[in-house]
Amino acid sequence: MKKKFLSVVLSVAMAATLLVGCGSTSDNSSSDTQTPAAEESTDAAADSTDAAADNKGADPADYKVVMVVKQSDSWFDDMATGIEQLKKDTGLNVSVQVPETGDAASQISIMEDLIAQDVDAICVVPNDPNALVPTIEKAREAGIVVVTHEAPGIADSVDLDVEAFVNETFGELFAEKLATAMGGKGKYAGFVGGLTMETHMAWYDAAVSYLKANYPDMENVAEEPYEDGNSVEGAHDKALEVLKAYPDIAGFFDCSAQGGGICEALQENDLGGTVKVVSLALPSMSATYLKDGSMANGLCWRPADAGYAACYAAYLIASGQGVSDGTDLKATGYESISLDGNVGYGNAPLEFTADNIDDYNF
Amino acid sequence: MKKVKSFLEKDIDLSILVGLTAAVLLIAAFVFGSSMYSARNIQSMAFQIPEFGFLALAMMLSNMVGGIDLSIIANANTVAIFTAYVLNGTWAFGTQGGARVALAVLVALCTSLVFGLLNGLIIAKTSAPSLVATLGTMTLIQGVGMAITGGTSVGDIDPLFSSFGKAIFLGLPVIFWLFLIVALVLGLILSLTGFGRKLYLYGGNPVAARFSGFHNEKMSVLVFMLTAVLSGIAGLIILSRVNSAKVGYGDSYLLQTMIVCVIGGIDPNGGKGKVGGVVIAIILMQVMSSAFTIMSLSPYTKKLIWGIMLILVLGLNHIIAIQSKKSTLKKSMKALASAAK
Repeated sequence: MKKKFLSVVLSVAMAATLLVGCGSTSDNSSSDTQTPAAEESTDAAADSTDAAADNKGADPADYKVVMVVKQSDSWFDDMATGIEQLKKDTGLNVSVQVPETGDAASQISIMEDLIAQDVDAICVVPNDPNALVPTIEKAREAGIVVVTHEAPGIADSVDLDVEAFVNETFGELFAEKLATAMGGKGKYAGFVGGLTMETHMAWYDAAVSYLKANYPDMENVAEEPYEDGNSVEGAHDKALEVLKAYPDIAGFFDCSAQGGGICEALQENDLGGTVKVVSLALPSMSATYLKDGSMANGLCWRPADAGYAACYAAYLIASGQGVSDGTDLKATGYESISLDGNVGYGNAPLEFTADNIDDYNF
Repeated sequence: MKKVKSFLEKDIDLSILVGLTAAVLLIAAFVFGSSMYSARNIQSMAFQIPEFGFLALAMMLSNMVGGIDLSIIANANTVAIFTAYVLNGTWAFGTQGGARVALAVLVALCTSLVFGLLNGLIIAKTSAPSLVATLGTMTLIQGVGMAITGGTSVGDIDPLFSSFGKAIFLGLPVIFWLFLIVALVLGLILSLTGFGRKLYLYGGNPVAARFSGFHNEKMSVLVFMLTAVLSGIAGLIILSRVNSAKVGYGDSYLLQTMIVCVIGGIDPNGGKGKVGGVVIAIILMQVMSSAFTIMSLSPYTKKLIWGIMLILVLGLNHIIAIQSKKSTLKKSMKALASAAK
């Protein structure tokens, strides 16, 4: 009796929803021939929208592009403002999906839902690029364009990966800034978030070899980079160790955005501003140190521009215009991307000093 | 009508849940129409349910004995990592194709059983609260995974295995059928077998269970091993869906499994609840989360809605429990009064 009642309630609910579903489907596809079975009619409707997608022109308003970011924080809030701007500039039907937590699982379920909604393109900043590959493949099999950002490792599986810069160039920028601040001579130490972090290591290696080649008077105190563990405390403690071991050190650079920890350690030893610090920087975390002079330069890229460029590239590919070497993605630093395989590099490093730091809020 | 009423009152929590689910399904139908109930979207939801569903069932079991298993996600990931190493040939011992997949499943089963045994023994032998014990094993199991992989993802697995995660049978994913079957079997075990009845009794009142001659330690070990096997299956499904295994995948599921259990009518103090309720709650959760994606809600709004849902369900259950207690009291008072006359 009990199970019967339960199943009756549920099946009534299901039947009602099916009916409603059918109703709106037939509204949408008035030209469609009506088929009696519910499932067939929805299928047919899906087919007709697919066909329409193929015949769409270049009007941005006809394309639905969705950006799936990593999580909710000030970095991705800034990215969302860039995407809002793109919507205003071009009329592209673009929106942002924010997972509740920074977890690949939530990104996958959002992407699954988007595939079922048959959007034209998905842009994604993967939390764990490899875990997303099967879902990305599924999306592309369904005819959806996929553009990633910060995931050159899986570029073969996507339509395009947009990067703010070539990692070597960015690493050399670190080196150049540090050398300028230190006057081209003295001992320095390099930090990364962790030895397994590919981008950090690429920047570190490029910076060190650039300094070796161009500034013979500068000396790296260690063969390997120090690990700050992506935490301010880690950077602070490591910097104290380095100071103890090498009292004559004259500069630090940090490839993770924890340079503030180094500045704290220097200030505790009254060395703030004397020993130079160049770090990857977020305005929210580094403004204080840039202003009080303990950090010479902060380096970064603008999430808003990266989001703008990635979504615009997705639209270009979805509408058949394509992206090639030199394509203008309309965002600052991405005016002429250089294409290497499936990776499109912009030239968009952003440099913070005490004077311009207040212009940014991410 | 009376029959319906008495039925509704018999399992009031479940009735509320079914009503709520029906309401959400209907509202979703009116608001989203075909975009929610297209064959494509239903299929997509069915693909998403199993990995979370198995974890929720695991959490449900531990809740039913008045405990909690915090190590389910760590367990699933580490099992997936071990399995991935077998499937990509590192630990395959020369097996190929089907034999390798069979070996991988065997390894997964053994690994999860060992993890479950560890949980069960710690809880049974030291009488530690499961919250503390599994917090420890969670960290330990995570550490094992971390030590083996160094935090990177293990991929490049046998394509035969990943095709399992994509396979479709009768219009629905095979993994979804697997979930339904396991849920059904689990439901039958809990409601029909002696083990099930013992589990409810042990969960509801361990002291009484002990005095009734139950082997409590054995029960606790068995339950936590079953929990671990369910999370191990979740690990296999994750592996087959994402083609790689990594420490930390799906960490956000932990809290959600608890929400689903509470909404599904499982009493966190143990001894109460049904598999059916949890399965309905899982489906409800998936429909809502897909709806949130269609509406592009911000994470704050999503959390707000989850919170309201949780409080609504709990509040309703509480009010109704008080009401029904009052009415039974009145009835018995009346009976007393009439007897006195």
